[in-house]
Amino acid sequence: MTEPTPETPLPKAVVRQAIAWHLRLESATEEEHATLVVRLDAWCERHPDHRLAWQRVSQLNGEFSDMAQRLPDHRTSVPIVQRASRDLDRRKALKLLLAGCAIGGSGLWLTRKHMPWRADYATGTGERRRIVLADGTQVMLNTASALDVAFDDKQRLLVLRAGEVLVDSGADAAALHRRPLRVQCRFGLCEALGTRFNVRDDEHASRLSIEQGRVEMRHGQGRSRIAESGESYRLDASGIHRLERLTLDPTAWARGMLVVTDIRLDAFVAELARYRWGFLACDTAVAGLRLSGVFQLASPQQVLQHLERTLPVTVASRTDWWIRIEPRA
Amino acid sequence: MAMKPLPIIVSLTVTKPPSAMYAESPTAFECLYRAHHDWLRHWLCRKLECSERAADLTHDTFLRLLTRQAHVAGETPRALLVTIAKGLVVDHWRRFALEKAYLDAQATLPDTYAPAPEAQHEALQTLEQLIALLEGLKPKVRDAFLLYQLGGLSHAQIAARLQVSRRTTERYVASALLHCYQLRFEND
Repeated sequence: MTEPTPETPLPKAVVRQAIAWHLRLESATEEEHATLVVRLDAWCERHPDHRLAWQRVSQLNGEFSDMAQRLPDHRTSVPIVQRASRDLDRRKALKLLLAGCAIGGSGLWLTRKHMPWRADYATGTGERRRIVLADGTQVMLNTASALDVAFDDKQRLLVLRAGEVLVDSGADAAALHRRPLRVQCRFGLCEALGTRFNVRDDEHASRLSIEQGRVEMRHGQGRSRIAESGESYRLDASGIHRLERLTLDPTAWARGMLVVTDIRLDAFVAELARYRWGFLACDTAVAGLRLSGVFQLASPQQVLQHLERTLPVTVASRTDWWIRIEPRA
Repeated sequence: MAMKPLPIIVSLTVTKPPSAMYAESPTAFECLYRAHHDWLRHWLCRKLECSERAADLTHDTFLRLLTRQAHVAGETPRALLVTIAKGLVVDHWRRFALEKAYLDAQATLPDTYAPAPEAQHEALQTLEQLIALLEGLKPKVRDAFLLYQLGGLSHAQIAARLQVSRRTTERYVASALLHCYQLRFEND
């Protein structure tokens, strides 16, 4: 469809009539067809616009036929286009409305004021972000994370809406009274006792790791416990559990690294998938393979190549977004 | 703002004649790039939720700006960048949605829908073109048109499938055709 488009558009009513002619002809029986063609011819004779409209509609139809020729299976193509179109509609409705606001205004980055439903701080997949809060507390957000900040006279509350955050608590020197620093995660509340710690939310559990100092954990169901420096805990529906042997360095991500020790391949792939957009999974036949190493989060692609070199696996990618780790043939 | 290296894009000013504005002042584009690159990348990162893809599309956006004949209005370069970037984001989503739907279909129908790589590539391109063409139509109108044009169903069959009257089906198909006609012959 590259031909230059000529002059003024034809009247819409004429185009509609030409389309109606086209549809009538297509559904006509053979006997009807002959008489219809004669009448169509007369219609085309009546005005040059009619003829041009008819030519174009016929041309358009020809182009559709060409398109159909390039599709191997028409019946299967219909649901594909339907699904993809619906998916696209949904995305546009969700996200492009926001883009519209950005253009309508001064073109400035949207602030929270305009988007109250979004978290105060958020990161996209593969993104990391360091934020210094008013009290001097430094937080680092990991990939695909969202954090709300709710400070008042009584407390400094951080609400982890999604993902993972590393907190380095500040002195809060300007405050009149001591205000505890708390991080609320899916399965509990963590109160800092002068410290640097990491909180991560997954679907079925929250995880807390203490790098320095101590943290008091309060489970949603009322139990509480103190976590000491160097310890890691899992908070889930059943309570608080100490994690003894870690296969993943809980705070290496803050340095842009993925550090693993004797981790199962499926767990490793799931971890890597957090930093990449699209589908990344692992065949069950190789899920139990184990690996150790230090990887750069910035280049998941290289990590995948490394897997191919060191393990008996092959990285099968059907598109950029669809990748599966499979046993090597 | 940190100075960004410019190697890839700037080399294009040599190989491809840019618009008049940039030919007269070769540094104007560089200034624009330096002033807005990080901002645009951040904007795209939010939209796409993928920093790698955002970097790619940032690059593409500046490339479009460089190669198109439009004059950049002095005050609103960001609005223009966003307009271009928005189009690219939709292109990206469209391709993503298509690939997903295509792979799902392949998974359920491995025998009937597993053409050779070349044919597959052509099919994907055609489907992408088709989706773009039908964008903006109401789902029912789109479905009616697809069933008619590709599915080869009659108006009566489509009416039964969509649970609307035959008359409505005809109206749907006609309005989809008008939509395509306008895109094809009246878009500038």
